[in-house]
Amino acid sequence: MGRLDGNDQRLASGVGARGSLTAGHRPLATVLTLAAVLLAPPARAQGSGATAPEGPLSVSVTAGAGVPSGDVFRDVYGSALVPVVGQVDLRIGTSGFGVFGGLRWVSVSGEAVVENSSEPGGERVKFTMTSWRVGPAWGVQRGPWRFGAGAGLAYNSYREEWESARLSIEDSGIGAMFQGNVERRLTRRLSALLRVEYSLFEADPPEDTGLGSVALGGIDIGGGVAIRF
Amino acid sequence: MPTRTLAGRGRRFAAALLLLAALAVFAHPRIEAAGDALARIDKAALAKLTLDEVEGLRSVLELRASWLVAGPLATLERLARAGIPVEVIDRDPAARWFEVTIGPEPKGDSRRPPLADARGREVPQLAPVPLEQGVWITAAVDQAAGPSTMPGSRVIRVSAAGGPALAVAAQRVIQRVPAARAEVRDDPRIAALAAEVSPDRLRTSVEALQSFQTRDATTTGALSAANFLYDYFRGLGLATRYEDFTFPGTIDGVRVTGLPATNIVVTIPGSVSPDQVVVVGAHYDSFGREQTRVFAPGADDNGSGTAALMEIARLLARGPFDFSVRIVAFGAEEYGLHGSRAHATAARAAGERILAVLNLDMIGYTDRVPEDLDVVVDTASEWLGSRYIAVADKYAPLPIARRLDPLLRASDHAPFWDNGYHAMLGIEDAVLNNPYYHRATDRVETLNFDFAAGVVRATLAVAADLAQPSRAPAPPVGPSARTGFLRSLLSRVKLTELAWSPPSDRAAVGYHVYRSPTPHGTYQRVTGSPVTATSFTDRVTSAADQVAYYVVTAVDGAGRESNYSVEVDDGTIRR
Repeated sequence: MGRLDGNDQRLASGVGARGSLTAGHRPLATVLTLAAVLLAPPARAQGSGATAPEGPLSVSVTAGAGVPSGDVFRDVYGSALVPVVGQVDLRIGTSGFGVFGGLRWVSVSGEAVVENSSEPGGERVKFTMTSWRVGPAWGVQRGPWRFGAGAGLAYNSYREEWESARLSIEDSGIGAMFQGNVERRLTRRLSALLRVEYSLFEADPPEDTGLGSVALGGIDIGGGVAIRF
Repeated sequence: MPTRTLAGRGRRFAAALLLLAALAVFAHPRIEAAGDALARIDKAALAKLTLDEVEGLRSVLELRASWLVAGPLATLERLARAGIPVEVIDRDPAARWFEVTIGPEPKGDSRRPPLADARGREVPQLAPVPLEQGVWITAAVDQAAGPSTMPGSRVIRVSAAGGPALAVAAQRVIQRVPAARAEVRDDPRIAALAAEVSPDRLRTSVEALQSFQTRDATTTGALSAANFLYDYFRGLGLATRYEDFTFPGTIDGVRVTGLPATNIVVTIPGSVSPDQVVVVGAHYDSFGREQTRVFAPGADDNGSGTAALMEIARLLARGPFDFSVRIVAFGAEEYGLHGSRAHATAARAAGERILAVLNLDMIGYTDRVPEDLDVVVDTASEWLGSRYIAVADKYAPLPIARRLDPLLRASDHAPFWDNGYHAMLGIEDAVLNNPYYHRATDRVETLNFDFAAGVVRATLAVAADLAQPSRAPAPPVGPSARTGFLRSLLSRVKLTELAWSPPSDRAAVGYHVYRSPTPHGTYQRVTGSPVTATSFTDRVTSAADQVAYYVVTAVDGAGRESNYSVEVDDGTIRR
């Protein structure tokens, strides 16, 4: 890169600052926006759609904020994750019961800590986890609102990398997850969605590290859209 | 009446509380108040522990399948609670000495007077306790008395006081580091020195030692032999000194304490790090079963080892070496390893950095052709046995059998083991096979000097290899290491920060860092290309709990690499 003049320098620092703001506040902004949409009275045009027959299949995408339950996780990667969830819900019959299946993906960078303390150690690390989930769900429709809940098993595949040490750990395991959803119909097919999840999963580091199990689960709250077919 | 009932209840309640408190006081603090205890731990159980878990325990004696340890009773009981089979042998061993007998179960000795501790209280005797197959421990013998003797048995006397840290002595077992074959760098100067070893000189030296008639440590023959050796080494232009000590011996059946004796200590100072010392030793005294004070020629035991010292000193005197070589002719070995114990104890007290001890005892008699040399090591010294074999293979091919036998302690390497040094014994047969042993017939004509010369070549080469013939560029000076651990979610990384000073010749343009999982083992280079700074951070990502040993080399402008620096461990092991 060539030498920057004064404006370019400000621009560069602005980009950096915006980058860090985005990482911290985008999930919150998304959740607030979706909450506002969900709480707003339905428009007349949308109201006519509320009486249309519903399809049994729903595809949703949410993003939001996640808070890990493990102390070590929070020490190394902080308390704000940005999980992205894609999910398919299939209603069976008219009883409100159904099944769901989907994918949760989270990727976060952090800094290794000095052992037996939470002091940062100056070594960058990156954690990525993909969770495939499936389980039974139940939901109830109340006008334009739909309330749902589900519980299931998650197959978690995770990887942690050290930037400087050329070290990566990969493994997988089964955990449990619970979720609750609130949907607000916007059009005949499209709904806004707020979802809260709690996942339970403990991973065992490689034996030669001498480290005990670590909790990789936590609480997510996310907003997004659902399309019903 | 209700008041009285209440009072009665209150008293019963108070009594119950008192009872509970008394129970708590008497049931618990035995662990807190107790001092060191003596215990046995299987080596298989040790392999399940970490270095941290054995902190505070000391090695009293390494057995074949287990370890006799001393340490806080609370630590031992904590291990027992964690499922480690720990057998506490004595909860209060401070005032006692113990005898470990290898052989049949020892019988009680009614002639012994009852023992008393420092306050005059009688110390209860301990019935023989089996430690492992054919190994027994009995209690409490008077240190001033001679060790028990039993036909067909060997007796080792031990104390629960002192001893090296178990974490150091048993490190290889605890960390399950396999004994690896050592890699040896080629050095034509070592080959040239080894080629000069002369069987005829060895024969001449043994004849000279035999000519003293006896070198029994209680006679003037031993003093004459010591003077002969002193003059010989001085004649080579080497720094030579007497190391006087006293020992208890038996003269004509009478026990005498305070007998004078001496070691002859020769130093070839290192040119780079003279504080690092390689010891080559052998005892020069002799013993005869028939008339030890009159005629005990001791040609094989241990004229052969002493002649080896004379030949090795003659050739290594040409130097220079990076590290010091110390040649020690030990006195009074036959009366209980007194010379080597005096030397090893003094070295430990002075904090001397002895890299290795090569002890030669009976290297001239062959009961078969080809004879092989037995190299006896304990667990901590296994690397030395591997290195001896690898170096001998390169410079002086010789059939060698490495024997891990920590209970073979009847020679001058054992006091070095007891003081936490790495030592080995080179001997023609670890299970003695010389029919002239300790007899008046142990004479020069029974020896095979071609075999002895092979052993001398190998031992000289090992000493030279460890001391490193000096060459340019000079190695870096004094590496130090500091280690810390970082953790992420799923892994730990050990960061070892190494720092050193440039070599004295200022020829270095870069440095390489090497790491090994065993002391003086096979080093793996961890720097891809030479680093120009005088520091380096090594990141160990697997088996981070394992102790690592480092050396640094200097690289000059012509791309030549120096000898290794002094070895430094990463500091994770507590001594």
